[in-house]
Amino acid sequence: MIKTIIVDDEEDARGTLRAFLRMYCPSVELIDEASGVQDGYRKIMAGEPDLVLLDIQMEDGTGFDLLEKVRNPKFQVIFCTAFDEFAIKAFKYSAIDYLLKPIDPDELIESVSKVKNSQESGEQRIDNLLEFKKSGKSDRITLSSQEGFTVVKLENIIRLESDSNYTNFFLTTGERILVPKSMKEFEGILPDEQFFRTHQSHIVNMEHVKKYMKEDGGYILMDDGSEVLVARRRKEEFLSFLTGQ
Amino acid sequence: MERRISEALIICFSLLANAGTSFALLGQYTAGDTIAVSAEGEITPLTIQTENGPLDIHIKVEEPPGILDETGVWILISVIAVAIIYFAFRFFLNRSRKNAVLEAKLAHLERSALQAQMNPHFIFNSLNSIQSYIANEENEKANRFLAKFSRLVRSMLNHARSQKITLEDEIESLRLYMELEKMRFKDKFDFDIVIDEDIDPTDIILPPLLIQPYLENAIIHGLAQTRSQGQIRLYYIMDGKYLLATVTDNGIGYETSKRLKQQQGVKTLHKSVGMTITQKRLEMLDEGNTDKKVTIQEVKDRQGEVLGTKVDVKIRVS
Repeated sequence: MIKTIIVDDEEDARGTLRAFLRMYCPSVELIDEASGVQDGYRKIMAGEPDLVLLDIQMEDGTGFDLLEKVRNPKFQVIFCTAFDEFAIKAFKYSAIDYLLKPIDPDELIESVSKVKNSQESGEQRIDNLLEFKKSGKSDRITLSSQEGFTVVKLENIIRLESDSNYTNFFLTTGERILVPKSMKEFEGILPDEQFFRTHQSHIVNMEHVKKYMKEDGGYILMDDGSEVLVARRRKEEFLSFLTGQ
Repeated sequence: MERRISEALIICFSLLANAGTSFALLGQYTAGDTIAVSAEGEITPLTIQTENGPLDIHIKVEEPPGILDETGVWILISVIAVAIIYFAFRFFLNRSRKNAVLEAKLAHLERSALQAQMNPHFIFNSLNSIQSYIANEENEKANRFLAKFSRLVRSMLNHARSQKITLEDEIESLRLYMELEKMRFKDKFDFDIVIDEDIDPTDIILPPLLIQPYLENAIIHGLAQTRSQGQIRLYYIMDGKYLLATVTDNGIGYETSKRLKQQQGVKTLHKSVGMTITQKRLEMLDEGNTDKKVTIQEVKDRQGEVLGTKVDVKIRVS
């Protein structure tokens, strides 16, 4: 059973989650509910849950504040939010699951099943999340693949290549990580002063661009010897980006 | 240099002719022709055969007393005319450009106002409430809430197209909004809307939902943190060309609430944006008059104890 605590300041929201967990997630055991940061902190320390369903904006603070108070959290967290673009960027960056309110039961079921299958605690990802939250950026990103979660330094990413709904990350170590998310997801969150989308299916890290070849309509030679296409429409922008650096 | 031959010079020639000049010479010139003149103003001396032998005639051309000759005057007039046309053109261009800027600003504000009306927080909060009623099998509440919510969304969509609505419609929308929030906050507050007797709500037109951000504030800041039953009141009175809308609540007070939020580090960006837009909209409505349209103050009793918050909004309606 997944020992779970709900933290949300609105009674209605807790009621919805409570009902949904009962209806759709038989593997979840709801051990407690809390109505704010202070209350949540106490109940998490006392109950030692496996999973916390956490609201962002609460009357006495935010869900991030709560995570900061709990040092080295040993639980997984799924955020629940109605509307917070900045937070969503942070979640994507750290591969932390989140649900948008009103909650789609299918998404809830999927998120909970990920918790069930995951061996690691959310600690590393929560670290990544809080770092991003603090400064609005981070030099690391958490990639979630079938093997689990990998925290990767941005400078070690050479390029991304899309493969239908999946994205391949090519790293300086020669490793390749396949992430079951579309490349568009990453285009929105990777810092655009460092990463450039050259093509429908390519994003390159500008720090690893070796040279630009004019022949064959133009392509880029990367540090690791790979060649990346540049779309005709992007060529001018790419070249001005390259020379501007 | 050259000079034009004037009538006077011709007369001068004629006089000489009378004195026995060669007529051939006279025939060479008519008024308006040009003749070479030396730097000193002398015309090449003419030698005329007379009965008494050859006669040298020296003619000196004197500058006219005016500074400008005829051409100069015409040039001056043209320059002035061109300048007038130029400045007039610039003036009108500027004015139409200013108008265009003003109109664009207004259009932008209308759009932002729509966005403020269709406040995503409000929409999502409402949807969440509906979901919670359904999840908890409160069918009756779900139905009532959903029906009111649809009515409000429908009227917002209708009003989005028209820039102004009657006060009657405005009050109808605000009432729906407050009823929904009241349900969402589990009847934690009561509200009423009062219109002064001498106001005919069908006769006054104004931009839609100007007051909504202040009602939202009254609910969130004013009531969320009090234990007692909240009281929110909106009343309208006329003051000359202005409709005065006043929102009062018995909450913890504007300043206290702001301070609490700051202490907790809660961002209040969204709300203040809504209120900045309102001030701008009110200024536009009042022909650009930039005096303060919205006054927010805490209401205190004699001991200085905060009783609540009072917001006055000044809306130009005629």
